[in-house]
Amino acid sequence: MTTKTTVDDAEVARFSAMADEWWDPTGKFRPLHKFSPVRLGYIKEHVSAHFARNAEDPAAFKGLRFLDIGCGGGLLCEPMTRLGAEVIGVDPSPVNIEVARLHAERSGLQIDYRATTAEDLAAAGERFDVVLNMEVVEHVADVPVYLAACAQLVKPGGLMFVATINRTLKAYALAIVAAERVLRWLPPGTHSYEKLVKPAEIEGPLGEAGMTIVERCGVTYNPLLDRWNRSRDMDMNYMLLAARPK
Amino acid sequence: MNQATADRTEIAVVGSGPSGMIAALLLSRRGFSTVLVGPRAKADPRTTALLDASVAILGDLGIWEDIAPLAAPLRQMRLIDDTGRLVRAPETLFDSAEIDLDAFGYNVLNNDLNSVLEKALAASSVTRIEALADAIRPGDDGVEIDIEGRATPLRVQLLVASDGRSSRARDAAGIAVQRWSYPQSALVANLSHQRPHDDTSTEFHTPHGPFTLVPLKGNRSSLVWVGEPKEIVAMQALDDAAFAREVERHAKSILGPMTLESGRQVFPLSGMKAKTVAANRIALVGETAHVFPPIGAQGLNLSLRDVADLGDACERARSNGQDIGGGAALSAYAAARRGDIDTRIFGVDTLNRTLLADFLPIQMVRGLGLYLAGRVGPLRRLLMREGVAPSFRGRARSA
Repeated sequence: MTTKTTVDDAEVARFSAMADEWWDPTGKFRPLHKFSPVRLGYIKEHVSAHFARNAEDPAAFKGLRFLDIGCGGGLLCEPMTRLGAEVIGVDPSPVNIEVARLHAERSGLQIDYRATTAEDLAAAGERFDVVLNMEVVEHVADVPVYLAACAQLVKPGGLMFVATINRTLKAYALAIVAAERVLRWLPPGTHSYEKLVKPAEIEGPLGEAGMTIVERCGVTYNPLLDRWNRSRDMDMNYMLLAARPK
Repeated sequence: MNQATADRTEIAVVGSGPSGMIAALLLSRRGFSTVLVGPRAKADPRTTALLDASVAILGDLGIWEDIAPLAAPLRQMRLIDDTGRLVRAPETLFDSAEIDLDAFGYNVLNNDLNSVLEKALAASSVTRIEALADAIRPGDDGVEIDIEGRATPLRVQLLVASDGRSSRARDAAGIAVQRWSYPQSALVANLSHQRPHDDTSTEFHTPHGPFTLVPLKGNRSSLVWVGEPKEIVAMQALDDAAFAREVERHAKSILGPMTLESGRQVFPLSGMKAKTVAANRIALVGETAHVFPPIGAQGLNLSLRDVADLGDACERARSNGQDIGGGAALSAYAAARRGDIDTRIFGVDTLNRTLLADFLPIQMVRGLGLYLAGRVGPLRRLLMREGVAPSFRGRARSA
């Protein structure tokens, strides 16, 4: 947790510039912005259905406690808050947390951002209705240990969303060779092939932690429309939904 | 909705012409708290041909039933090559029944359209501010709008700019425009005539531009005459009776003797396109985003599709919990509009320029194009459908 005691104007200016960067749909994080509608749509649909909420209600998530792991600049936390959820965003990077805080303040949104890890939150006994685990597992050191900690964070009757990239040749070709080296959508080195995760490697640990897999779907890119869509093809990007029984 | 935005108006539509009024109606109908800023529309003797897709949009808003009795259906479109050139296109007739439409569109006086829209606004939940917007300041979390005669600025999440071709809101958004002009002027007028128009619009293609008569209710038509500025100015200088005789002569008397009904208006022909349709919490619709010659009934129809796509983008953003004036929503709107606007500008521009071209091969291509359009059923039907609504739109809309 970073509690700033002295405010450094140059630092604030730097964070502010980074917040602009995080939130610029045409900038450095363009791939994430492009990805947003499909992720948000998936979360909206399944959370509304699971918790019997009216998806048309602008405050459909009121009263639900959300955790966004690896929240970055707050690209998911802000929409969830706008939909009425009480949101905690965590990221191991204090810089990201500072950026996210600054942007939430500018957006007039109340979000509890903390520079901490899922393991520490689990140890502290925090529990949530919905845990968002989006584009994180491919970056952690020990997937089963990490997922076990994440599972503990889900209340009985709660949900966990996981989104990541499959470890297939197709994913290697598209997510690493094409996206990082050819199209330069992502900085080279963002993903490494050995760290990519197969669906079974997520479903296994989650099952052992007492969670059941509710739904899984692939996410594919349509280059003609420059848009991501849900699909049955899970060879590349995919999303999983797990629930903890009541 | 969170506490920060609950007490705030979500959207301000700045500019109260037909596009602005329709935008305000549509956005408030979709559940956004909406303010319309701008004085009431002035008298406007021009007419608008509302094409099928526009009729559908107005139908969804529940106002088509009020417009329909005032509008004349366009069931057939006739193109006549009057260029007097070596290579001339054959007469081409497009019939709406061929693409299973009752009519290509409906021609209505702008005055009538505006009064229906004013009535619908009065009955809607749109807040009306009949004053001009002064300074506009886009910020991180909202746009501030100073309004003439008001001490406190209006604060909104999204500003919809429909304040026309010299838009202040567009300048405030920092959106640059590209302008061009044509060596032509346009004259518009409404005339009554002895013979019925049989719900057919007739377009004479002259070397200086199209001369088009579009049906109005009864034995009346609206004229859009595009020509050399000199010729057009001379026409404007004639007295009413002499002018009507000139129109009849140019129309080869197909509608019989004519009488001028309402005042002639002349304006230079020009085009304009905004570099993007959205930036800094400001979304452009209608002539704020695009202006092109009054050919082929594309102007307001394209504006209505702007409005419909903007409504979809805002609705999707709200459903996903995203900021309706934020980068994600605005870039979705811009992406949805790009193809449609470019196609229309290109189409109208190309048709106009081929008429002006003295270069024989271009005349031949145009002649061949219209010849093929006349003879080859599938091509003709494709052209008709594309003219009424672009086909890629359906795909671009589904998220």
